[in-house]
Amino acid sequence: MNVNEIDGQNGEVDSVVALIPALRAFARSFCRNPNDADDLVQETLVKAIANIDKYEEGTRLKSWLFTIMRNTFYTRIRVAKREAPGDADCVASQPIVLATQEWTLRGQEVEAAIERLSPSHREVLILIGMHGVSYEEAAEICGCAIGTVKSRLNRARGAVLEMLGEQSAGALVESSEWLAGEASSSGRVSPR
Amino acid sequence: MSPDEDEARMDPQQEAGVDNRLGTLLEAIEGERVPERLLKLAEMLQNELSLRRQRRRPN
Repeated sequence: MNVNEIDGQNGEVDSVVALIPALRAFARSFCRNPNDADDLVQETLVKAIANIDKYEEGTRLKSWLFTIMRNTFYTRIRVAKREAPGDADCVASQPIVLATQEWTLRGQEVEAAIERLSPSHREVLILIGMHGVSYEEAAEICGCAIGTVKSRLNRARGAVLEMLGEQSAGALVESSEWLAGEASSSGRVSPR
Repeated sequence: MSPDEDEARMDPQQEAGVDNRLGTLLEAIEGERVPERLLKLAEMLQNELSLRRQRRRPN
């Protein structure tokens, strides 16, 4: 078997195995516990195998898998809220911690800053800033307009810089009021 | 254009600074050992993709 498959109309080469770190990283933007994040990756891969016929040639494999993962996560949240509203609210309102030993050692400050972002801003920042996904792909994955993606990305980057104390006052994109408002709703899922 | 898109874009150097820091987080995950269960599923998916492509491009 050819491990590296030609993926998508751009002729990009993607190996599913090589995509695992990206999938694990994206999963950790949803799950506070790394084991739970790996469970989400597992469920994503199982669903991808079960729905292989729905994969369209020309679609980037990574984006397809990110979309499955995001839908899986939000479906879980919706089901949990239906079954035990109180418990689900409690879980959903917990800040999402991007925590592994390595991650913590190498990026504690960044991790803390990302953790404080709202879920919608965090996912866009992870998709584009970390994985290099295009605005168009991110919009498709997140189910929103490209303009919204750009705005969220700009706000997320600005907020991270502000939290890291690296942004000059004149360049601040967001006010501290916005940051406070977003932080108070961090982790609360509001399906769009 | 969305109503909230019309806002000042930050300095490209600052953008790159944030993304570089995010990159270090991804590098950390890339350095972690991948659980066997995920590797097996990834290989299964790879096989399925290969089979599908073979079926679609018969010689």
